Amino acid sequence: MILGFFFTYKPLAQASQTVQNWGVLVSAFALGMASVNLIRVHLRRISKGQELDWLYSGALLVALAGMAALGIAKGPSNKTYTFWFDALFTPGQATVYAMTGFYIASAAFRAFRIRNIESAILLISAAFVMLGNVSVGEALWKGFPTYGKWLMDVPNLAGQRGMMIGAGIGGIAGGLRVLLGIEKSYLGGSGS
Amino acid sequence: MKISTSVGVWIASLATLAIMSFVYKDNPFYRLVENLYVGVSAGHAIALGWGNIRDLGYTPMVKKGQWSLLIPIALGILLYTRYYKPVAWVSRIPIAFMMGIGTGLAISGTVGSQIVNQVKANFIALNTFSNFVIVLGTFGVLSYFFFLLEHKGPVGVVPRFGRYVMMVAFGAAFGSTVMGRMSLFIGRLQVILGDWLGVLGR
Amino acid sequence: MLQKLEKMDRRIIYLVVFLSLAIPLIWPIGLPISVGPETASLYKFIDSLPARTPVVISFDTSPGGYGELSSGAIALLNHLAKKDLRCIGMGFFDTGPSLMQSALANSLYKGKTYGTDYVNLGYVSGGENAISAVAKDIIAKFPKDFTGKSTSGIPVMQGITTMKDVSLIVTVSSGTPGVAEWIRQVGDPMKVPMATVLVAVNIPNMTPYLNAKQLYGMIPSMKGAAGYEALIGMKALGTSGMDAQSISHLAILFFVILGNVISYASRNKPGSAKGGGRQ
Repeated sequence: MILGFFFTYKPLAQASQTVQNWGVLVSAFALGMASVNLIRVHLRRISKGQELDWLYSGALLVALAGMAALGIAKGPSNKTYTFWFDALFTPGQATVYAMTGFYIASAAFRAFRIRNIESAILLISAAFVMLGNVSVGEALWKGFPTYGKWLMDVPNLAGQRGMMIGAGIGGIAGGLRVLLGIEKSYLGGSGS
Repeated sequence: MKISTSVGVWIASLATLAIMSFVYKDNPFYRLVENLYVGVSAGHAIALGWGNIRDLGYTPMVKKGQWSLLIPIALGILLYTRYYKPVAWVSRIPIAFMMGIGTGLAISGTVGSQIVNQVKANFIALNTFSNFVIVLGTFGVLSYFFFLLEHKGPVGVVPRFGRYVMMVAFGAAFGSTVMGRMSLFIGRLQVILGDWLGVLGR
Repeated sequence: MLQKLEKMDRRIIYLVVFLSLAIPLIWPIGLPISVGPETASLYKFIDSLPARTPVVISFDTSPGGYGELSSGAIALLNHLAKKDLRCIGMGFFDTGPSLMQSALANSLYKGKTYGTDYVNLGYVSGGENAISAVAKDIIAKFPKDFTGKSTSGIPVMQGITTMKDVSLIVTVSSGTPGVAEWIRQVGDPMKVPMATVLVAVNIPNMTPYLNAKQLYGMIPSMKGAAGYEALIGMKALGTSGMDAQSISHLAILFFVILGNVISYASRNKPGSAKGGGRQ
């Protein structure tokens, strides 16, 4: 794939495309791995039969089997499939993520303390971004959206760009380590 | 107030309330709905994975004679050997294959879009205060992560400026995170108050 | 008193946040909506496209992020439908195409012809690799669309083989693969204009791409959605959520300031131990 970037040799481009297509297919098999893990863990819980755990695990496995069977047999655009997707999956996951709004408020109250100049800069920047992006901020003071935008477009841009370039260089170094066999942690072994 | 008569809206809203009830206390309704939605999500992944295997693997192989697709299919099946300890090492082969593809793509893509284009964009005329902050800030952030020399005295000036610039970026990230989390919750409340109870103001 | 406040039950905080969100939704204040420049620039770009121009919309989001993106995605689809642009949908998250079906059903595309005006091609696994593979030959990776019909000869895909043949790619993104992967594999190497409907968490990360013109514009979270709805003249959920967004931000800032005031007052109370944290 890297060679295909440097050389416009048709067989190389075709080989690169073939490898990519194979990668797509292997990824499709990988989708089932999380489900296999879930099935193993929850079957174990059912067999242990502790308190109500067996009921919850049973519900999970029934939902899993039902959706998988329906999706394989009728396709994911089937009416019943879409019904359960919209009625259970979408609200379930959306609410779990939405609840983090509560936790961020609680964490902001308990942990966000101005102890030095860095944390002061952080809080002021956060306040300007938060108030600059909502109508009430503009109603309170025209400076909130103006300076909030400046903070996003200038120092934030500089910070993000620096981190992006640094992360890019780091990513390439990490990739080279993987390709040269120095980094083996992704295989589940030690890195040496 | 116009309460919905749709079964789907009722199930979705009750599921939402069951998950939300966790903030008060862990309870059986929360646990049940949580397990149900995880099950649905895993079943969905299986259904779509199967669709891809059928349309991009089985059908071209059997109906169009592309028998070379046996190789990725075999690699995909080998992934599951990790659940059987005596042959678990075999699953490293497809994992290494995927890592190789990912690394090749990342290296070839990162150089252009994340490094070259961003460095190019940083070459701007230092004729305004903002441009000066952008250029010096970017250098400052990059120099903050160079540990060749200790960041003390005159050598520490630019990295320290970079540190402050990063604090602004982290503050912007926090502010944006708050904005995002509140938007997510508003989305949920719009379903409950709007679609279900019909009390939304506009 | 200070100790009581400091040890306040976190459920009181949750209740205040909940009320700060719910009350403005039920009784809106009607605060004005402003349009950000990145949203306006995306609107102008799409508005300048001639009818029947193909636009790729990629739903790379899970339901967790979709709660924030739905209003922006629907506003975008409404604009594309109003301009009679061909909408080619796909997803690189397994949940993306299902969420796109929901968005299409709630947009003006509901009244248009599937297969001729718009299509949902479905999902391809593989993340960044899949994006790169699809970009080189779209139909080869989607032999069937999301509804199970063959994509061979489909009218909406006429004249389109690779991503170079489309005029704009918009990714409705809440994670990885997302904007960065699209820019790396398609936007920059194939020089296709890119835009995004994006969760707020990732907004600061996009400023380098916007500044370097690797992104033509974006609809950031619900605020961007409200602005876009104002531009297309179709006020909907994005607009209705902005009052709640305003009040909730004030509530969060109130708690941050209150926490700091309590902490400062406790530290300076006579007889209390000073210190803790770097100076």
